[in-house]
Amino acid sequence: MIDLGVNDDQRQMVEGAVALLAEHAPVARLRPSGKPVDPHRAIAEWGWFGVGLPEARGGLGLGVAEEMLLAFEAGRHLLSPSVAATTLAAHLAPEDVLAALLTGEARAALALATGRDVLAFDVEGASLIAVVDGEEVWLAQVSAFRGTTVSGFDEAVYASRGTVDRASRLASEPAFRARLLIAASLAGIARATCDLAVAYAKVREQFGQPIGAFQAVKHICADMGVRAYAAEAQVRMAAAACADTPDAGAFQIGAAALTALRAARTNAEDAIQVHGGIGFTAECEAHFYLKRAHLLGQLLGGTDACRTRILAERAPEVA
Amino acid sequence: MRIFQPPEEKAFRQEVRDWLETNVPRGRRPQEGGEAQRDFDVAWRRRQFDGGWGHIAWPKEYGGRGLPITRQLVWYEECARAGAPEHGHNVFFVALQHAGPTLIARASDEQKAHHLPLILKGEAIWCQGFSEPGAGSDLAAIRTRGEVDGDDIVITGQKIWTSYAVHARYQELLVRTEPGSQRHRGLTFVICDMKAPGIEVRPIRNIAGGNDFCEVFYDGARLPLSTVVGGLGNGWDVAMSLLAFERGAASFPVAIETAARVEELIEYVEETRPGRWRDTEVGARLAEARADAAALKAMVHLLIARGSPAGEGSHVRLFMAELTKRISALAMDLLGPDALDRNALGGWPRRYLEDFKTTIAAGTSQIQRNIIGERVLGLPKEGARAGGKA
Repeated sequence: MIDLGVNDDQRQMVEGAVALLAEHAPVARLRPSGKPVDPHRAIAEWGWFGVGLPEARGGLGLGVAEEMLLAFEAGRHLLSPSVAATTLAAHLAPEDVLAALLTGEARAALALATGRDVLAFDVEGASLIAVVDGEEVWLAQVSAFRGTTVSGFDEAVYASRGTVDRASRLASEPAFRARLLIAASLAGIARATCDLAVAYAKVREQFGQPIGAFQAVKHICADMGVRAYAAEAQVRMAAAACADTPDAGAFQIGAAALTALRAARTNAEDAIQVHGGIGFTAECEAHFYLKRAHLLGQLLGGTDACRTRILAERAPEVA
Repeated sequence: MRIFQPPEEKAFRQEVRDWLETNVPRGRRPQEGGEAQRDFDVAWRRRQFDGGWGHIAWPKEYGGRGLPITRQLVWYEECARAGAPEHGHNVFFVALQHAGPTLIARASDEQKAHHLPLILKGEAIWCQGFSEPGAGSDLAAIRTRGEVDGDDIVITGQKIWTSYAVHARYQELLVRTEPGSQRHRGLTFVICDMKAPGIEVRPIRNIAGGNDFCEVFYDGARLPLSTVVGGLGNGWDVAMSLLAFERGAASFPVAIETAARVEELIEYVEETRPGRWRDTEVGARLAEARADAAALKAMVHLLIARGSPAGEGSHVRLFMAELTKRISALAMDLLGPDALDRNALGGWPRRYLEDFKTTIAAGTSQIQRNIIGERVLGLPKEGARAGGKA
């Protein structure tokens, strides 16, 4: 029996998270005209980082499914990769820093091992760094990172390039949880960009009609809706397949990564197109989603690695 | 959000597995359509019925098992696993996937008691009489007349693109019963007996070579008024119920069976070019197809979890139809010169041709996009004036 629904508790949790983010992290904050805010503390105080954490570690003891649902909202609201990093770090961090992670006094930055070096995101203010490195994610003190700021592709995130001393590894886990959370954020981006394009297509008028009345525009939006639906369905399937441990869902996570990455990128591209001229301006939010989709996509290894991985998995037998 | 196996489901799955092991037909389903294919499908349907598997979800009183839709999916899964004939492709598709469900939802007790068991026993193949030469995507433009004459309706006109009409005993027939009525008003849904005098079926050869795709001519065919479903003049409403099934749950068998078809292609390429295919273009397309097949199945479960709201089934239908065509086109590229033999690798080249219908039938992909755009996303209809409402 496959149940991809959300239960009442999950629905309430998501509603709470959405209300929190509407107040502390509206996407408009990222616009050139917007007011920069750092919602991390408010997110932590709401209880975000304890949701999927075992009770023994001071968490709520809920599961991967709840973490996935929050990651979906993180994507929709373009939260810093530090939110995913701190979620991962809470599972891996030594007891002495855990409490500070849960309250928001401390946070982790997310980093990607590229093979040559490490790209780190929003390192400033972080005390830990969670490195996505091939098949695993490992944690180190942020002091182990030496790097310099680069002109990040995604300007909503401060990017730096450098190295992390591997000898300072504190802990590690297989990358399944990280991939599921990233895929969920990508699915959130696919949904958000669909909503953004649809909202504009309903109000923008040309030739005496809302442009969404024209099939040429409507069908772009419908395809965006289908991609968002497929991505959300598959990240839910992946979360459901994880049950107690994320590695149990390897195949479904692989399918979710590919489906959500493609959905997020294509939908973000289409959202720019549906907006026309305004879509090419920095004030329109569509480009933030596009850039974040690329960033998150690279954390999954990019499309090629996602394809290779899903072919390497055994297709699931029916139960 | 979880995957679990309640004991009843486990027992059900095992019972299905055991039965399929000894009952799945050994021979392949004849590929070329026609009577051999029909007889194969009828025999398999009869075998399922006799084995107690007439239908998983239909009510017990009509020969089903009265189980939830999720159990129906288990049945599709196990059939795919056992290599049973595909539920997404057989002459009972119309009867099982939309005629039956529409009768269950909208027909009288007498109609249900008569027709549903006939379908499950394999004694009544159905076809659909909706499209006409001048009414394809624009269904409300239909002109075939149904004149009420005493206790009868007298049908005059023409239907087209009527799959299985050459084999069908009954038809879902939508006619205009109110003279001079416009668009969706004045229509009536009738169960048409294809043996009634005045009905002529002419096969149309389709691009895959089959003759089961037909046009149907009605020259004063008389049907008793008792064949009306949902009342005179309510045809549009009944037709919309039917289309919700056709564009919704009717996609489920193919949605479940698709993964097995992708795996078949992966096995084939692994056999024919071991180790050399993963980093090629076909490798990339197979990876995408594997992920898409997983997502398609997940979409079915999301749709069910969300209670199948109006219009949402079109997400599944559209994704399924386009994926089906992508996969069969991929098979053509994998086969290379063998693709020029229609029967190669179990008939993939023929299937490639047949699959062109998936983005046309049950509403073209363009109509599905209109449905998603307007009914799900709330975009205005074409021609909506500026500042006006959708």
